[in-house]
Amino acid sequence: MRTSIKAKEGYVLTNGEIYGVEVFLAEGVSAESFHEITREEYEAILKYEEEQIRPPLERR
Amino acid sequence: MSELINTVADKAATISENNAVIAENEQKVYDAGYAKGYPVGHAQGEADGFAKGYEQGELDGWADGYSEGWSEGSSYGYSEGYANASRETADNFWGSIQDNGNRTNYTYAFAYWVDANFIPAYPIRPTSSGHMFMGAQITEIPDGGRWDFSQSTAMTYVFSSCSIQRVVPSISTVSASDLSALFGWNSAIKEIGEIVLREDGSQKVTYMFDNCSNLEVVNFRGKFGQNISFAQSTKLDHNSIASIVDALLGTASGKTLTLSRTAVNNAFDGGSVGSEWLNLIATKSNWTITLV
Repeated sequence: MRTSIKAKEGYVLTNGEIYGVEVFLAEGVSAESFHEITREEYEAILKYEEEQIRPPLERR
Repeated sequence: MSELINTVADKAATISENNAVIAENEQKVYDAGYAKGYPVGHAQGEADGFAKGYEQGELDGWADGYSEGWSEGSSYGYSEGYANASRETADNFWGSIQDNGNRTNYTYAFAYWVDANFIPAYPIRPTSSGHMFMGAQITEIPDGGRWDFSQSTAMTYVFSSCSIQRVVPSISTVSASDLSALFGWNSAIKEIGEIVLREDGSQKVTYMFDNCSNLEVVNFRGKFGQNISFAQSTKLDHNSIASIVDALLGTASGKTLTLSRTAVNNAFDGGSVGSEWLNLIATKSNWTITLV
């Protein structure tokens, strides 16, 4: 059975690359590398990343 | 005087008798004439009536038959003519768009296509298909043996930000190294018949299914070897999640699969803490699996 960690209600776990409210760690990945951020912070990160990668819907 | 009166009376009686005889004879003559004339008259009347009726019937029948025949022929001819013209127009249109079946570069080919209907006349076998349906209002990519993406080396954003809800045919991506945003920001997509990945997991799959919030069914052949996310796909069903987990490359290291916790909790008995789910992910312990 692999190690899993859960965030408190309203929070999201992250190690800077991985984000989740429930994380099933791969072999060799340490739970200590994770910390909690708020849900709002997580969604702001998602929004920023989307703005960087999603092309505008404009006709060529 | 009385003798004279008697004589007059006798004469009157005789006249009366004679009149009766005359009347009787007249009746006999009438009856004889009627008997003779009736059949002749009847036969003639019948002949004349038949001729007249026939002539009128012929006129009426011709008129009715002509009208009906004209209407039928007109309708049939119109339908067939219209269909032939439509086919010819469609063939000319698709012949132009698809270079009579010779087109291979489909980059942006149907981007912002405004019609929901999409029935190309020729098979589509792109060698380049980036942004092919981006922003299109097509609702379905039907099957029909007309699709072959296996030679397409560019497949980023192919089905991105469009209205396609179902992709029925198998989509082979094996010639493309980069599948970034293949279905990214397609919040309409519900069903994807099959996506064939490379077996070595070498393809880039960044934002491949980002914001596919209505995705319910997807099947994979081949392997994911890079971080892959279905974070917004809250409606993924059991078999689809199982297919995704099965597609994780067994030799990958330090890679992450992201799924919707809502999807997992709905699709598996016991949700994310149930044995069904835990047994499934136990087969891919080299992957971090995170639920958001």
